[in-house]
Formats: sequence, structure tokens, C-alpha cells
Amino acid sequence: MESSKHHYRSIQTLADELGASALAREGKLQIELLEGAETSVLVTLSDFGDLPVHVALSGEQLVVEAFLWPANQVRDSAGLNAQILRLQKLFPFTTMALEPLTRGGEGYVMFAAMRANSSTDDILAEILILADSVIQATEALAPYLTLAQV
Amino acid sequence: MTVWNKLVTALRGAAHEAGEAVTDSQALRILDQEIRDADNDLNSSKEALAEIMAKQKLSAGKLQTTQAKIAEYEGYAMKALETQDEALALEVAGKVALLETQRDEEEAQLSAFTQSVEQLRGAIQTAQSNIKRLKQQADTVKATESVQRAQATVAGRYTGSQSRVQTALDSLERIKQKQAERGARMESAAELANSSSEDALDAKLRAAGITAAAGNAQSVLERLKAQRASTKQG
Repeated sequence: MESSKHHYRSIQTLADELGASALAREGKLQIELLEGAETSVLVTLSDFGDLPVHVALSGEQLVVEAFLWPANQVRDSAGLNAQILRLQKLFPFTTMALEPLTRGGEGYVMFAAMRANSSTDDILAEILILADSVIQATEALAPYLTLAQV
Repeated sequence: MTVWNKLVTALRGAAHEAGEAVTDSQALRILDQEIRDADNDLNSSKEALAEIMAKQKLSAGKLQTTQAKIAEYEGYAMKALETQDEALALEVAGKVALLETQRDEEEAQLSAFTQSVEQLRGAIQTAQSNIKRLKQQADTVKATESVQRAQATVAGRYTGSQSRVQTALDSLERIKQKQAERGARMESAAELANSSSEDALDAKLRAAGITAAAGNAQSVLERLKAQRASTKQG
């Protein structure tokens, strides 16, 4: 395989850069490194109701993702899924998906993928756009959900 | 196009029944296989290209030699004509004719090789961009896989229990709560602003020697007297 010509940041340097940003210094985001087989960054946004946003790196790709709700919290699955498709165009830079959860069952998520060598400002912008999209989508789709959990 | 078809077919096979989620590990296994297949295709194409380019070079060399020979023998024929030796000139012309046939064959072979080189270069570029795209896919799947694990870590944090996980609805509720609080705060702030401006006015009046205080006390007393009277009646 041909080797990459670009320098892609490590997850540690990404965490450092995010932590050094103006938003972090103003206390609007909290940065945390989550250790695991693959370390990832957890960004908590106080302006967005303490929404947790995950940032993960792999090779040339960077993923920004937020958890929406578990599938067992959906009152009307068919209705919700159809409505998600209808709303998708309103959020052109993010994707809503249904995926298996490690603890079992499935959950809805919203994520965006970008190149790992994007600037810190671009990554921050993506995090904020995602958070905003999550809140808007949640408000729009709340009628399809149960408020209490099974 | 073929790559995508294979992927979808493989994915359908991986999900045992309709409605069952394709796990990241299944997706990665399929992508891994696709990348290795594409890489093998790429390597064979590169080897074939090297071979054809060598043959092309040889063919071009042969053609050049033949063209040089044609020029050489044409020269001899001219000389024979100059010395009025028509018979010799004819013999040499025969040789030139043979060489020209050979040249035409060699030209055809060279253009065939050149075409093959172009096709192989195109195939190599396609294989390279396929691999790049597959690797991007695999990288994205790997990244979302690590997010999945991270989400499990964060799930029960705020609620303190594993059975109740934090969702986007919770964040939305918090925002609404904050807005409600801010709204309430703004209302009371507005009220405070109103009341304090009245105090400021009274303070001005008092300072100007116009004490409304006594007048107020009087009118309050009148009002209370009237109330007492009406309650007695009622």
C-alpha cells in the first residue's frame, strides 16, 4: 500500500487542540479522553444541555457522533424512521443511523465523517453543527418517542 | 460499480435475517476482503503493465531499425539508378518492398502495445481509487466502532444507573429548563427594574421637598376605613 503523504494528528493532540480552543477556555466545552482499545475524545457542550459528543480517529477519517436514544424508547418505529428520512435533507452534513449497542439492542445516532487532517476550527464547527442538529432533530422527532424508558 | 454490487450482496448474506443489524465487525471483515481483492487486482495490473511496457519498448526499437534500413536501401536503389544499373535497382527495390511490409506489421504491433498500456494505466487508476474509497469506508466504520464502545462508557453517567441511559431528550429537557429559568429570571428582573424606578422617582420627589409619603398614608387610611365599613355591611 502506498504510504500517506499527510500528517494526521493523533487523538491526544486533537484533545489538546480542542482543550486549548476559545470555546473550551470559556467553559462552553469540556474535553475528556476516553481510554479503550481505541482512545476517543468526549466533548460535553454546556450550551446544548450537556450533550455528549464523541470524536474518534481512524486512519484518514475522523468521526463526530452523538447518541440520540435507544430503539426501545420509540413509540412508533415505522413513523419515526420515515420521518427521519424526510428530515435528513435538513441536516445535509450529518447522518442519522440505527446501530447495534454494545449492551444489546439498537440505538439511534447522529454522526458526521470528515478527513482527519481537517483544521481544529473545522472540527469544532462540525461538533457545534452536529450538536445543533441533534437538538433540532430531537425536538422534531420527540412525538414518536416515549418519555419514560422501558 | 462492481465493487458496490459485491459489497451489498455480501452484506445481505452477512445479516442472517431481514431486520437484523449488520455489526461493525461484519462490515469490517467484508471491507477487508474487498480491499485485499482490489489490492491483488492492482498488483497484477502493475505487473502486466511493466511487461507490456517492456514489449512496447522493444517493438519501438525494432520499428526504428526497420525504418532506418528502409532509408538505407532506398539510398542504394537511388545509387544503382544513377549508375544506370536498372536490374540492380530493381533487386534493391524488392528488398525495400519487403522491409516496408515488415515496417507496417511492426507499426501495427506497436500501436497494439500502446493501446494495452493505456488500458492498463486506466485499470490501475480505477483500482487505486477503489482501494482509497474502501479504506475510507473501513476507517469510518472503525471510528464509529470505537464511538460505540465509548458511548457504553458514558451511557449511565448522569443517571447513575445502567438501566436508564442518557439520551438527547435529556439534553433537550435541560435546555428547555434553562430557558424557562432564564425566562423567569428575566421576568423578575424586569419587575425589579420597574419597582426600583418607582423608588427612584419617589426619592426625587422627597429630595424636591414634595413628600407624597404623608399623602399616601392618608389615602391608605381612608381606603382601609372604607373597607372596614363595607365588610361590616357585607
